[in-house]
Amino acid sequence: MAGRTADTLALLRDEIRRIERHHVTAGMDAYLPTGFTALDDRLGGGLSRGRVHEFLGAGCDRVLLARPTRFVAHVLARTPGQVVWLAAHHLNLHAAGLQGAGLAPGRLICVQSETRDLLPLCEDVLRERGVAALVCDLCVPLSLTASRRLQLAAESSGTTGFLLRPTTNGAVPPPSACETRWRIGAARPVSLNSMIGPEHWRIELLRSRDGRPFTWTYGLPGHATDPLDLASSVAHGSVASPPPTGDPRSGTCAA
Amino acid sequence: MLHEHDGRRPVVMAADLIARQAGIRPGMALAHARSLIADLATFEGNRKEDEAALERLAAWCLWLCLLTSADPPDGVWCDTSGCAHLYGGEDAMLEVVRERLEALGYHIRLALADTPGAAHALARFGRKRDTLVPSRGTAAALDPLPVAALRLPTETCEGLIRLGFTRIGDLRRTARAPLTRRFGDLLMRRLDEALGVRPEPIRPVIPLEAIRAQRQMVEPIGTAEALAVVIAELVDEISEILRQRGQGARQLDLVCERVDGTLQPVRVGTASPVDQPAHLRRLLQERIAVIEPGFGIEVMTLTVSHHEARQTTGDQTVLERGQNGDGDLACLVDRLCNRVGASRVFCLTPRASQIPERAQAQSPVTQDAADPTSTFSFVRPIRLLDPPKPLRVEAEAESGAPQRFVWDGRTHRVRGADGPERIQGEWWLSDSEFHAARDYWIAETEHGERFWLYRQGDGTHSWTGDGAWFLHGLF
Repeated sequence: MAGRTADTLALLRDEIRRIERHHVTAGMDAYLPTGFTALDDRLGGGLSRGRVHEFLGAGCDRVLLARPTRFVAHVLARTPGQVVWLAAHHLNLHAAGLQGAGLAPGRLICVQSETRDLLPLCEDVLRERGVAALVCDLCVPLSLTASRRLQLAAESSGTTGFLLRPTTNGAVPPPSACETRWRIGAARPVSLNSMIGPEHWRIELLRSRDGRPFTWTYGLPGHATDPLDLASSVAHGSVASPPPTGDPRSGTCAA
Repeated sequence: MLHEHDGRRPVVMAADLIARQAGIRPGMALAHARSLIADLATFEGNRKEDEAALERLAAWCLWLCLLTSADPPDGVWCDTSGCAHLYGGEDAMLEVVRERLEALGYHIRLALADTPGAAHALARFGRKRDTLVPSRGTAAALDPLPVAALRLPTETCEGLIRLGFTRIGDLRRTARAPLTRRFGDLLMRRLDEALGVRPEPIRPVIPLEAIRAQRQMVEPIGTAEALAVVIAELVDEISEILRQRGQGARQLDLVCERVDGTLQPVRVGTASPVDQPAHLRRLLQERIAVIEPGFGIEVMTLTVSHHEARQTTGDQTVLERGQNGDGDLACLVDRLCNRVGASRVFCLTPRASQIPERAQAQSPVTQDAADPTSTFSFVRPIRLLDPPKPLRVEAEAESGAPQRFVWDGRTHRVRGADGPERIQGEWWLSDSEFHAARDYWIAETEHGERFWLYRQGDGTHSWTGDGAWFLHGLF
């Protein structure tokens, strides 16, 4: 019974927090930490909770979106709760890869829908309070109105939305009302020998509602899909360079 | 073999496969049958009990759809409009029906058609064991069948054959009036019913102790809001009954009777027994979009077609179960299932297999599934290309590592490669995999992109694979 009471209190607190969302400037809970220290510092704690974030791929990964997916999985691995993963037709997620990125496959509720139902379903799930986040493999164009609707739905419930958007010919999709837009791809490796060493990521913040675009380059230790345990490696001595205020808007981090 | 008394002598009523092969036919005198097979086992049949059993079978079929009816002497009709998606399509639905009925020991023939008459005919006279007639293909499917398929008295059939009408197609293409004059209006009525020109209502079986609620409207309604209000009332009534009985609904059927006499069935299912009005209301109200009100709906009936005892926890907080099913994960999963089909909402669970595309299974979402602890040992991409895409490797290193390959119309130079990780075919599954092997490589290009490639075969022995390269994923 005590547990139940505590649950109820926690829910009430949650509710109040949601109502007061607009007055809260920076609570720990208002952000989903990404685990990339420099990135979190710049964003003031991480990706905003209860908003919609867009992710694009780069290079050969524009359609398959493996790196953006890993980034999202990595963010979600740090927060509890169920995640709804929505895709049109076929969902090509691989459980072992998810596990490798730190996200337990058992936390996912996978849904395959028809293409035309995708956006309405997105909105519906975003209105749902019982889930932590929605991830959608969004293969349809997103109009400004539609993205605004998604954003409002997410704000009403506190569920965070992640839209993974494949692009065909390198064209950046038209602007949307989403909170942030990211492009995550590979950076040219620095090592000269023919061994597979640390992986190099180029994380670009293309658009952000309250900030300027920015680019980070990360060297990830170990093998490709090891859990990206960055905090510890940063503590090893290689430090994130302070984000410069003017141009060029980029920073490099070795981890 | 079963026999009965036709008033004069015992006759064969039904015979099994072996007896039929020996030449025994229903209607034959029992003495004649005995002379064909010396050690014939016969039992006395009982038509009344057969009919009762058929009724029971029709009631049993209610798991499939909400309108079922016995079609004596040997058939069951199921009106599956709006149910097929729950089983993943019509083909899959027939599969399920066959599987379950065969498990009960029945030999069955299935036919799915637009009208009860056509289904009756095709199940008995169709060429195949299972017939699936596409919508609007009824006439074409019926044409080659004999006239006896139309549920006509024997005299009528014989008369038609004497006149040269052997197929239904012949009847369809001839003038109706002379035939009606000769054989009465039953002939044309049966033909129209089979073709769907004239509606043929089936008398649905109503399960005993059904939990149901009904509202008859003074004025026909047609707007979504009005439907929502009625649904809310029906659900409140039903959930009250469910709560009193300590039961939870697993499947609900909403039948809307339209002004023009047609029925609009809606079926929703739940993953676990539910008696929360908010949950049920939300499930049904989401399906309002599929109801076609036409000129208006007069009667709405809500039936609990499947219910189970509910495990009461007793101390659910009001907040957890919000006013409209918000914040309730079970409700969300049920809603998603009803919207996209239960087979398309799933969890990924690991499966013991080395072949990457087989290493996971899709299992239904359950509330209290323990998080499966898996032992993935090798690095795997987060998404797999399904199926793997063939690609051209232009140069290979001595170790077998790809050095240059063409993908997406561009040549990629490999800076570093890691591998090979050899995966042997699962020979215990199929013969073709007996020697099969794949060599997986992680190849990093000069631009830092990492590809997960594999070569079919070990590179030296041709029986392990033809050496073709495939892209299976990206890191």
